[in-house]
Amino acid sequence: MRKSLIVAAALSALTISSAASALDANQDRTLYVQAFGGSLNATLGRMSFVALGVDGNYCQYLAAWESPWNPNDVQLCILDELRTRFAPSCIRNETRDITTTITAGSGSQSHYCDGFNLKGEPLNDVTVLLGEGPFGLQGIVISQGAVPVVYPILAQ
Amino acid sequence: MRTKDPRQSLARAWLFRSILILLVLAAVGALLALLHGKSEPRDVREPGLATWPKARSGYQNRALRREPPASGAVAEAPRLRGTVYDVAGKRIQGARIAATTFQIAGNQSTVAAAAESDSLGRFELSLPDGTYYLTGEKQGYGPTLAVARGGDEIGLVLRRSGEITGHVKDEEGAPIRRFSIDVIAPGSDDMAAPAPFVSRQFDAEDGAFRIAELPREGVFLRATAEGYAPALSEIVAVSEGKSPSIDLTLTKGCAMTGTVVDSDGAPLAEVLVDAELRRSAGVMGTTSVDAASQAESDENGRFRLENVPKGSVMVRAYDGTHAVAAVEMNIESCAGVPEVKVEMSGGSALSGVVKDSDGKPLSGARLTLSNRGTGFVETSADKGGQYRFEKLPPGAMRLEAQAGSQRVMLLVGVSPGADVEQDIVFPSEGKGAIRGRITAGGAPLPGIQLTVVSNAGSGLLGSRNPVTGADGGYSVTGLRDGVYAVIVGSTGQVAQAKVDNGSTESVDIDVAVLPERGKVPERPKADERARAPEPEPEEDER
Repeated sequence: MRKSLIVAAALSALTISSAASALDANQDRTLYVQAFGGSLNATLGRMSFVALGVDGNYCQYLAAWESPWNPNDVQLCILDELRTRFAPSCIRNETRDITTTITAGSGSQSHYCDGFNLKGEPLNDVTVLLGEGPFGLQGIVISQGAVPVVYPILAQ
Repeated sequence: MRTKDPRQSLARAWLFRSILILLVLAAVGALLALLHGKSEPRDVREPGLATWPKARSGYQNRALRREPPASGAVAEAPRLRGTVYDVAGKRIQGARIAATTFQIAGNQSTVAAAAESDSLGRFELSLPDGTYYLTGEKQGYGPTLAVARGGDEIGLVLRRSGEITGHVKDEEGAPIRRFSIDVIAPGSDDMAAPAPFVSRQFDAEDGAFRIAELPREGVFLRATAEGYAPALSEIVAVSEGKSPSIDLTLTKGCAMTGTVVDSDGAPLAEVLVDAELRRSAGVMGTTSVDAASQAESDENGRFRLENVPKGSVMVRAYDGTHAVAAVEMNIESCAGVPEVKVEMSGGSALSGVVKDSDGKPLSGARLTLSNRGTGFVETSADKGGQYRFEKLPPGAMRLEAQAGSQRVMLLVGVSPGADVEQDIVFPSEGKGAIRGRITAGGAPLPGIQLTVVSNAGSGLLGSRNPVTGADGGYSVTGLRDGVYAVIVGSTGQVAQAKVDNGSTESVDIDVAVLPERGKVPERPKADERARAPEPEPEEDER
């Protein structure tokens, strides 16, 4: 009885936080750079997703990365969404917001992500790490230049 | 018939003996220096502030950490030390390590100190306290670049390099005999201007060059020659075994004239003016490349820049009393270069209070501001936790604060003439930890500095910078729940970990293992996805 109560509490906490974010593949996400004291006035562009299915411990997605400043071009990333024991199904994961971790680029297992910078110029080799935060999916983007540069990101 | 003067013969004999003694002494000295160099890290150039170049404009290096305004003296720092490795973990002797700063202007890097690594791959640099770019290079290896401070222990890992060959020609296609090639990292406007990785001078009748010191990441090649505007390549990334060919064409460029005035319109003399090329690059914003041309304003505030390349150009002006001023322009033809007026003012300010997670002021926190126009700018929070940066140009700034082992970073936008207030609150510590080992081909890599970074919310990046121990191991504790990147600064390799409910995560990185750029996989059919194996949920977690 006690165990089931704990499990119920954990599941209810999951439901509350999952309402805020994670990766529903039917929903596009805009990547905001949290700059200028936290105001959301800088964007790297928008990601839309196609589910690719399971890959080990991850559900894999092909993400098309578009920039509002470069509408004629699209970059591609492979995103890995960690399968948790609460949400092991990639079929369910691609249709629901479930709290998890999402990675792309050299810092992930797929090692593939190209994107855009704040001016819509192509960025080669980007690492994207996103997880659950108080305002939804938040994390970092790392520009893998000769000096790695890290930016705080909010994905809404 | 001529007779020999005995006094003359005696003088000749003494002269001969003196030269012989001097030659013997010089040979002994060279031998001792050689032996010394084999066993000890060697400072190629002992800095000492007095020997650093001083700007006629009165510009003061802002990358050095100064005592409170009462004295304003540059603080002393312990030596910056480190070790140079290859990707097999073998220590590299004879690598050249250079620390660069911004002694003449905020966008022009100058060498503050340089050293060669000894037989154990060790190096030491004696520097005033401040923030520096550190470059490491050796023939046949790809150079590396890191941000360092006095007292840091920095391990540098050099990979075997590919090479670029090519020719430098003029507009008629004729080879240019004497020229320089610089290898430059692109950097965005919220970064201090990166120092060139490598600079090589060539003297070749056919204008040929070969550069075999290239990092794996994308770089520009810049060719310069006297009387010509610099030429830039596109961004090129060359890995070991690759050898592309790139030809660069130098043009005469354009002459640009202008005036530097203060905010009342009065002319300003002895102001250093430079023009930078602006290029779009594979980084987070438009990047500038080192000053193409420099001049100093005369008593009427007039200046003339020669050999300014066509295209997007940023003209900046530096002196000792005003904020750096900048004018961006696009030069399409030399006939139509407009007269440039650069107005210098007191600039903007950025101030605030550094607080701990309980909202209490943190005194003594170290703050570093980075921007293309200013370079690194250092200050410290006072007893009340207050900090203030003055004489800032408008634009995006990267502000970093350090208290103990914790660092936070945020991006701040500064408007022209504004007094921006930005408090910095260090996030509370958690119970999580990340630990692991950094290896090279399985061998431990001691002395490697890592960045463990996550989004701390409200636009803050929280980071720690552990250094690996003798067994290559590192450990970071006090981490809050969240997604973390572990970055090996010298190689740019990234790994990730998720700290959940105060968990301890393990992240190992082998610098010899490079991530392969994967291909886009085909999308499996829906029924195949449905058949894909899935882990079974554990009983307690259903």
